[in-house]
Amino acid sequence: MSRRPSLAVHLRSAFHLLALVLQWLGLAFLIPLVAALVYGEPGWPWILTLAITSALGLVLRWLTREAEEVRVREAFLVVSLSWLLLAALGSLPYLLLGALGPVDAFFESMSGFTTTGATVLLDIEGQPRSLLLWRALSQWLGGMGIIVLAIAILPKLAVGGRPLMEAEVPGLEVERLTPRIRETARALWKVYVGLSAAELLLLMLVGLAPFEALAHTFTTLSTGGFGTRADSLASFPVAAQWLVVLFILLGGTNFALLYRALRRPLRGVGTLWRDEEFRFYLAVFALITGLLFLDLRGIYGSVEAALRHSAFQVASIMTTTGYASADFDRWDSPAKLLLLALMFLGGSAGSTGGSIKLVRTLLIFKVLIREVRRVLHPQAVIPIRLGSRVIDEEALRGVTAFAILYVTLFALGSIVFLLDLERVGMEVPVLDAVSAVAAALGNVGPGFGIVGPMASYAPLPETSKLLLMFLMWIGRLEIFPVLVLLTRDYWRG
Amino acid sequence: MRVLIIGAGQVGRSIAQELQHDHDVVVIERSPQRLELLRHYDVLALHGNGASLKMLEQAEAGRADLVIACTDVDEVNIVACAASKQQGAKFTIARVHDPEYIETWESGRLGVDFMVCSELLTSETIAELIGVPAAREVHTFAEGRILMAELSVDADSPLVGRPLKALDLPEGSRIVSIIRDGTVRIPTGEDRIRPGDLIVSIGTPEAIAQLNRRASGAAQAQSVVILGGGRIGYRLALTLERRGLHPKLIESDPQRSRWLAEQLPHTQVFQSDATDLDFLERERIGEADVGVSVLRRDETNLLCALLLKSLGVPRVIVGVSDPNYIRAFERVGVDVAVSARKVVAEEILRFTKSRIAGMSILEGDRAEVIEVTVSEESPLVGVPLKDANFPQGATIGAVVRGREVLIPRGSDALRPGDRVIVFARKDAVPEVEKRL
Repeated sequence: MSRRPSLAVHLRSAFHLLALVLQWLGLAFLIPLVAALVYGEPGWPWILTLAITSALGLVLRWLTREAEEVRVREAFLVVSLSWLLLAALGSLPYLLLGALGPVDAFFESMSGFTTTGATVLLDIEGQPRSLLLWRALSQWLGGMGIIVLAIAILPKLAVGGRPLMEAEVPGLEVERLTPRIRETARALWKVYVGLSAAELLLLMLVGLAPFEALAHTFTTLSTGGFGTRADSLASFPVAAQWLVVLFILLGGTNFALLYRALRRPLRGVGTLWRDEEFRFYLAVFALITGLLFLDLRGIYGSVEAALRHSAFQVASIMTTTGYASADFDRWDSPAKLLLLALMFLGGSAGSTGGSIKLVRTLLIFKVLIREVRRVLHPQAVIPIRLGSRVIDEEALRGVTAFAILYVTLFALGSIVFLLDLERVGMEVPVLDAVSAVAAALGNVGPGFGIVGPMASYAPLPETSKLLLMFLMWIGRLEIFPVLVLLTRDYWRG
Repeated sequence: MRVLIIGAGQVGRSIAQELQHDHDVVVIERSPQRLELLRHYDVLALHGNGASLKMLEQAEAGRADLVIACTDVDEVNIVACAASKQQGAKFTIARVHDPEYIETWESGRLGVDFMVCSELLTSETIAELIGVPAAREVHTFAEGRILMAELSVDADSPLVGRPLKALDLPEGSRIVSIIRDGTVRIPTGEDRIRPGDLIVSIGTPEAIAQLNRRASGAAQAQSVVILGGGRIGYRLALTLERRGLHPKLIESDPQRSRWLAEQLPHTQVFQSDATDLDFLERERIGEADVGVSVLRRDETNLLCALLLKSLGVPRVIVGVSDPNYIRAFERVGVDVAVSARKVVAEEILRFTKSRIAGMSILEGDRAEVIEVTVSEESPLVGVPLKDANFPQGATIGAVVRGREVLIPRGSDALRPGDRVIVFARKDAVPEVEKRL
């Protein structure tokens, strides 16, 4: 008689948590419902979606009563699955309102929650406002992280919260602002909500309609990139564009750092400046903006316009937002290559930005410099520091592994993508195709050419869309939580 | 005086040896082998744990005038002192290895009246020698807040030729003596310094470093290489980093060198054997201004020091553990040898010598610099110094009042509890002690 090996993952606990997350986040559908009622648009798709989500949550919860504590293994499963499931449920309104087919709806929803901002909608301005608002809201929820939100509001998650948060929050480690993880999650959300309120007010002050101001607030701080107009932000007032640059940059900053800076506003600037990643962030932003400005000076008449478009695109692409203040697809190749390179930098650790993250890039630079110094001084002992903190070698290995994994995924994704395009006979220049893969994996959104900022992902074959969705999902969760699910060790212990 | 020594290691034994004839000495020691070494001393040796109450009662710690805890375990020393104090001991001294305990002690006395850290003392002494390149001798007073240095003066120094009162000396320093042709003189404002003179100056470390620059063209050491990353090497690198230097530190243990590199952001740490000639040449260690060897074994220290000399390092300082080596080391070419054990024993012994809290002997023994606490009965209290009848052949270099360091003028007056650093010719020392 043979015994079946038992699973190493406590599925029941994992699904119990998943049920809780679903039940609570289902309430988010109330916001577009209100919008629908206000603007006189159909409300039933929202009620139906809410009902389905809650029912699913209830059933799951009933099936999995009495869960145990969530550990690292369960955390990976909960986080990976909740993002997948929420994206699936979030696609229902697109389907029910008849805006998109099943795959496209799922694509749009995944692109929303992962704050990618790649769209398959062709007629954005013709969509119901409630739908556009939901599209923006999904990015806002996904930006700070749905699990972080769940930890902040659900008392039950207070115990197993730490591994969950580690699995979701981008960066090296979750900075503990308070002794209790729940308070930390709340602190992050407070900053997020506070900054959102500030942006909303300021955008309305410079003349944006409340609806547009709200939708863009949702997608700026989350470094999402969904807009409400076909030309992204190109037709926005100049002041609004500058304002958005500022808030994009804030969205790409470590929120734990922002929290510490805002708590003591008088010393806030000092707190920010002492952070080495933040200094690197500003330096890279200034440097690339300068380079792009030199390149664009000839194209745009005024210095202000050239500077604005440079700063806007650099902030937007670097933090993986994906807004456009101009059709950068029409820029020359050096400018485009610069933007493509920026897609791999990403925001700061602990920000809402995606991609590799600046802190990792910075650390890899330091490791490379150390290797050069080691050639000259083979016996020198050189620890890598970030500010005054020493980063241990274990963490550095993780950083290097992540970067290699990221680039490998990008390369493999590009090959599969190109093969798939060839299969259906689509002729796409390599740079454009590669930009689409980098934009999906890094949660940027638009790329060049067929997937340019003023274009749409709609013409791509469905298989390609599924591939890009997978890349968005794995990219948002920083690869490892998804990747471990694919290993035998994860399930068997 | 009744003295209780807890721990008969090398420091404990040398203190016992020094005190056995004039005082009643009781020693508590755990190890029978070490106890055996005390057989020839005129002391009462007890076997047991010095931190246990029973043992302290047996040794009558409550009746002791002075308790010196110098076992190898810091915590035992602190506990033993606190317990003795509780029993009624008058003054307790704890020797520690870990300098962090000094900080803990400074914040809350813990029943310890005085705490010495041999590693800290030694590294401070070496750091001062590095900081004052013209110094023949350097000694610290008042926990390192005041420095006494004997400096040689170059012919082209701006200090030469003008009357002392016309010299714009660095704030916080005083010239207390001019030594010319072996005679020790206490100068007046009219005296002038001649080339080749030695001057004895007292002041804050910063002021002394400035004075050194004026006295001698010997450049301030810019590059320092430290062999050995033990506690002394680490503390020394830390002190030098605070001065804005970027020392090189060589340590053979991989884990220790990693730790050092993490703790010392401005120090270049190498993981290598200090005797590896290929390494020393490749890293061009010979180009350093000062080399310090603070390895564990004295013999290795000597070898490394001579190696550094042969590579071209102009000034080499060695930390030795056996004080008997000092003269021998300096004879074969080491510029300065510093013994941790001697430094600690001296620091502790000064408590047995009436009220003199610190002392340094100059020019053979023709002069002394002593640190004395002013008593309430002193006839000098409250009288402006210019009117006070201060003993001939002695002069006040600096006054420590609470946290402040003062360089006294004629109009200043002493207060009870002031700690004064006095330069005195040998014959004037008893008079100084009496008056203060």
